[in-house]
Amino acid sequence: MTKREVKRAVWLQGRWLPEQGWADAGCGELWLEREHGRRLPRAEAEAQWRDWPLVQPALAAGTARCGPRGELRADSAVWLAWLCQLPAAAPWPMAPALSLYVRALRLAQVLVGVQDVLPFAAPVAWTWAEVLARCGELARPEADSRGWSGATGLFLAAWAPAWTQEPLRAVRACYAAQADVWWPAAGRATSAGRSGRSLLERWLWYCTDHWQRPLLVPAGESGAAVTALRTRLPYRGEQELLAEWRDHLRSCSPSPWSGDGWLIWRTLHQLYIESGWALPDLRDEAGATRYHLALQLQPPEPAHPLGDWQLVVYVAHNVWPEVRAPLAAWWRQPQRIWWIGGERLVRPDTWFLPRLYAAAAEVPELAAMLRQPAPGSLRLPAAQVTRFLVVSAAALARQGVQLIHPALAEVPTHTIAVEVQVAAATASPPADGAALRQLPWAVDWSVVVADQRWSRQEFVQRVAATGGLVCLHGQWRQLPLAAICTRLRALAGGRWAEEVVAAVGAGKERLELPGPGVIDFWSLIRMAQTLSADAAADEVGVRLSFAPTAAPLQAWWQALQAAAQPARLPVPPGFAGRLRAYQERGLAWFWQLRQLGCGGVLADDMGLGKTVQVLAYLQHLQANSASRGVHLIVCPTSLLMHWRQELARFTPGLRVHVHHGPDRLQRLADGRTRLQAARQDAQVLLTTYATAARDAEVLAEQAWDVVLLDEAQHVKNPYTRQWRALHRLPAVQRLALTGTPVENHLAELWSILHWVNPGYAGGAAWFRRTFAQPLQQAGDERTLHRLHRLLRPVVLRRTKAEEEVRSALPEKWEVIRYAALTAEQAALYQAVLAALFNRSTSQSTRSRRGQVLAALVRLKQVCNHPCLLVGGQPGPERSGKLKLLLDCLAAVVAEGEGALVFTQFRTMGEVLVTAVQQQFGWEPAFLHGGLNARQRGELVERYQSGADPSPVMVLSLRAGGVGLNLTRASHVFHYDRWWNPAVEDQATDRVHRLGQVRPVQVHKLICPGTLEERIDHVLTAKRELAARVVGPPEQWLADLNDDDLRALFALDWDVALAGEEG
Amino acid sequence: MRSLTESKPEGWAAAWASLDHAAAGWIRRSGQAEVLAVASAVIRLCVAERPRQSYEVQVPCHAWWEAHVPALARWLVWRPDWAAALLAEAWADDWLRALDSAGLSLFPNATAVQRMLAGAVCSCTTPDRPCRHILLAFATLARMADTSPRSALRWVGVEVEALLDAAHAQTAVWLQAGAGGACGQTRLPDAPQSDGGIERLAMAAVLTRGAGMRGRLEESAGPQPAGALPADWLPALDTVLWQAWRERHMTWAGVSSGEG
Repeated sequence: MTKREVKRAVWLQGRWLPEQGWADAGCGELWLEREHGRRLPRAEAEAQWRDWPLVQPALAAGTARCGPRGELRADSAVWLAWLCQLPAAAPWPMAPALSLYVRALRLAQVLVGVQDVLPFAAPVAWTWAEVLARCGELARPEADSRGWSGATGLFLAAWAPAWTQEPLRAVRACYAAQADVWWPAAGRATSAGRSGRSLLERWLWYCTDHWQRPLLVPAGESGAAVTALRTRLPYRGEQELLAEWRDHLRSCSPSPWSGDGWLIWRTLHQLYIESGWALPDLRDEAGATRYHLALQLQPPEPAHPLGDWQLVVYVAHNVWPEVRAPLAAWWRQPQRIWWIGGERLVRPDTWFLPRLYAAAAEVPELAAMLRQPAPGSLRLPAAQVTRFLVVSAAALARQGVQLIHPALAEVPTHTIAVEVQVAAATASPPADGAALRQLPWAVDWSVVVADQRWSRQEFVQRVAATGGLVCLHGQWRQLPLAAICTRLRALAGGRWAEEVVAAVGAGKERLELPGPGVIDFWSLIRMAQTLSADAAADEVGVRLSFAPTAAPLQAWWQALQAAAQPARLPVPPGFAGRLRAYQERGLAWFWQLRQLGCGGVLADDMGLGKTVQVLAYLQHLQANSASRGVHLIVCPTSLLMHWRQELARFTPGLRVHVHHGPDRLQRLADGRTRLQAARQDAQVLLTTYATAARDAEVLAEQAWDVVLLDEAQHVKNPYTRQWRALHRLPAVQRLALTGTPVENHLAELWSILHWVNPGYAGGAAWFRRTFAQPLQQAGDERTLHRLHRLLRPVVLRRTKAEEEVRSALPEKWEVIRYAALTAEQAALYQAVLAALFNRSTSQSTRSRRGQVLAALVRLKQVCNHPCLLVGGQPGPERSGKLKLLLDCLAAVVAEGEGALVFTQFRTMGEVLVTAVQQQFGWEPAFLHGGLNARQRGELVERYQSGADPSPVMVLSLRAGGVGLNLTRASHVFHYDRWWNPAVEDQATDRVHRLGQVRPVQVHKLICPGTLEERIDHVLTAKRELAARVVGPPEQWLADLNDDDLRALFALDWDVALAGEEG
Repeated sequence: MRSLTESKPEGWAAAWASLDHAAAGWIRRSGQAEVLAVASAVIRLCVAERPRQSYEVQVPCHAWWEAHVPALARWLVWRPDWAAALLAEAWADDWLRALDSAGLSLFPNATAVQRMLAGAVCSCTTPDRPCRHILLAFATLARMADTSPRSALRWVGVEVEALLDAAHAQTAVWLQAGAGGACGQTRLPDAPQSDGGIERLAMAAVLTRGAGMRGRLEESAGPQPAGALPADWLPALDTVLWQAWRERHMTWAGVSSGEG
């Protein structure tokens, strides 16, 4: 056999043989053996030693020698030096018992490295067993000096491990358990220790002491551990004792020294009581201080997601939790000894069974498990997992039992969507828009999470079985059931037929979910519009899916969504005007809604031409033969004249009948009433709100094509007779015009929407609850967004601030507003005319001129307000123009803009101020010639800076026409006309000038059928002529002959009067 | 810990029914006697009269359960929660009920106490018997038994660690025999017939799932898999065979079931 072969078959074994005295290191042995402990023969062994470089120097020096049985024996210091170089320097593998010595000395090196050491001293005569016992006693708070005190004696000093660090204690425990197993077997039991662990401790002390001594430096630090005591008066001899003790701890050849036992005990007691010796760890063989119970919750296989979960009990290390063993393995141990991670635990059930028992008192599942033989795990149905985690985790933590479970993070809500499936509830639904609305629709829902879809039944079943736990991409997560439930309930809005109650897991919690149901058309559309919006990050999304039987509905809905961007229509033939780009869009939008069978609300800002868009639309219907009856326009009385004029101007081809006045229902010669005749002959019927309310029955007799409400905010109250009357009017399409911002008046908006498309905006209570209340309280962005989604197809609103509109608007433009005369005004007008023409024929030219001019002034005053001529109440009920102005100002103020009102009559200015104050509550400033420059300057300053609360200012035309900057206003009202356009332009320029950022609207109030209208025509036609007039502007009027004058001044009763409400 | 002696005032309390005032005061002031050893059905205690003056008291045990250890160990195989309660020094009600149903009681009744008093020995020279050292020893034993199941078992000759060692060994054997998972789906092997009735009846009491007791008595096969004791289980231990066995094996003969 070659040497190599011999070496391969041989183990290097060894042991330490300390002496009786606790500080006598004794010697160590090495030997070679084969399997089963058979030593190599002496000769063979000696040959091996001689060939081994590690031991040659010691052999040569005589500090090591061969023993009778082939062992190599050396002093402990030499032996230690050899072990330091193993296993690298050994040509044979080490036996486990020897390798434990090597590992233990490395532990001692670590102890010294982190300075986890304490000084020690004990009488020379003590054995190791006594020392070990005393160390345990020293660390007890109640320890006494029994055994130490008394006379002085001879002591030895040494360094000992302090064991303050938990990981080092854990390693020590591991080695101690191994020592119990291997070292008694490694050789004869020594009298120096009763057990392997005792020998291990001694070996650790020896190594620690060996390496700690040379580390000490003389000055100061060496005795730091010894003298780290509280400041107090030293005992007699204490300083000398400590100094000597320190010296002996430093010395490399320790020798006994004389010291006072009690002082030594006292010092050691104070040191050891704060060290690891005070902890039960060092005496703990069962692992109570180093291990803990851990429960691991294991999910089922992904292939069986509804299966049971497993709760497995482990005993795990405190420092290294991956060092653990399942409790099930404990019961298979033949004795109550358990090896875990290289450490031997003796009777560990003395601590883990009581802890399990205490935990079982709070966790019923554990109690059930513990009542079974050899318990180690338990099955937890998926339905109970969430409840277990929520309820029991805290209880287990209190008991010091670790619970390991999958993170069970919540599935992010934005990855979840509820899919609403819509199908026809009848056999074969028609494709027609109007017919679709009469049908019920079947709805059901499913839940989509990432790439998994669960139908309603599957979802409910899953929730009941697992409490909402799902496995997604291999990870177990918790569904946010509350968010899903909230979303589903919001969708259903309480209108779906059934409710499904889903039990969540095994707990008492119940989820109320909507079942499948049948809902009406508008509820479905409303749901689709408001809730299929992009959900916020913390909301579950909603998707709509349409079954094939619901394809017509899907097409209709998509068309509705596209209605806000309709295809462009050409300007209809017969329309006498031009349309701006945004107005063309309004026209197309009306038409698009008609295709869908819907009505709409046009809510453009004032001045953007709502009237024009409607008229273009009516003309379009007419031109394309799409009209299905007479169109009905309902407007406030003050605007009746306006509509009549506009119709005549833009759509002269449409036959218009005005249904108003006391004789509107008069019977004609052929027996028909005027209304009946109009229904057959006219294409457009104009009426007022009051008249429509009175004649509700009659008007509802026959169907209308388009029914339009102008200034629809007049019908904001749905409980009035007026509103109910309008609601009864049968129409192919209902339209509404309103200029007030819709968001500020949500209750009014609902009323208008409900009239335009009954059912579209839901019930009043629902609308209030869903939109009005949340927006009023908190101004919730999401609710606003949802409201806009609902409104967008059926409400079109453009503001002057929008780019599309601004680019189409001129910086300044004129609007003529027509105001009807009251009966009183008409009568006065006639009286003035009569007075003029009855006298003028017999007068001289000069007096005639004076009379004409006087009559002109009086006529103008009549048109303004009768009280200027005949006195009396200055209220708006006597003057159509004043009523119209107040209506217009109301619109301006509602939009938050400012206005200037110019009049050439100072008294009229005062009337205006009074009227405005009574209407709005604030008094407008009045700038007139009677003010001096300073006063005028102050008024202007207050108005312009916004200090004046009134956004309206009244000005005398001449006084306010020059040199003022009033750019706060963007509307200019010319209450009465100054025949020189240049002067009017100058007045307008108070507003339309540098510094003005908004487009300026110039309103000219004209009473049609009177001189105002005719002179306006003349002025418009002969603008250049009028501009050259330098003298008093009315001069040219006075130069007209009688006939011309009569023609100019005459009152056209039909046109001028709106008629009283009859 | 709950006090069981309160429910049996005629038990330990019988020992000091006729105690005089002075002796009672002395006992209260003296603290506890120190238990030295328990062996051969005798408990040896050391009572300190004064510092450096102590007496040895020997008290006979009211019962000696050494022979029942294997059967008791078998119980613990099927009910590890009872083992856990013992280690936790907690009283498990259903364990006491099972003991009771098997005719075993950890606590002596008045008659047994009188017998123990009569048999107690003290090394003091006081002529009065029982002397106050003996009474202090009784008080110590009672107090310890009341709060510690481990002590109560020790007074009847059962060392808990040995009991648990036996139980653990039996569990390992049972698992080794192919019992499968930790939830105990198979039967135990046949019980050793060392004392026949106690084990068979006790295990049946523990393991029965509502079936009639009498049927079990005739079974020779081992007990069925573990289950909880039915709450309404009534011991039908009134056969002549049972009474005779109890009289032969129990240390307090003549006591009927439920009082012991």
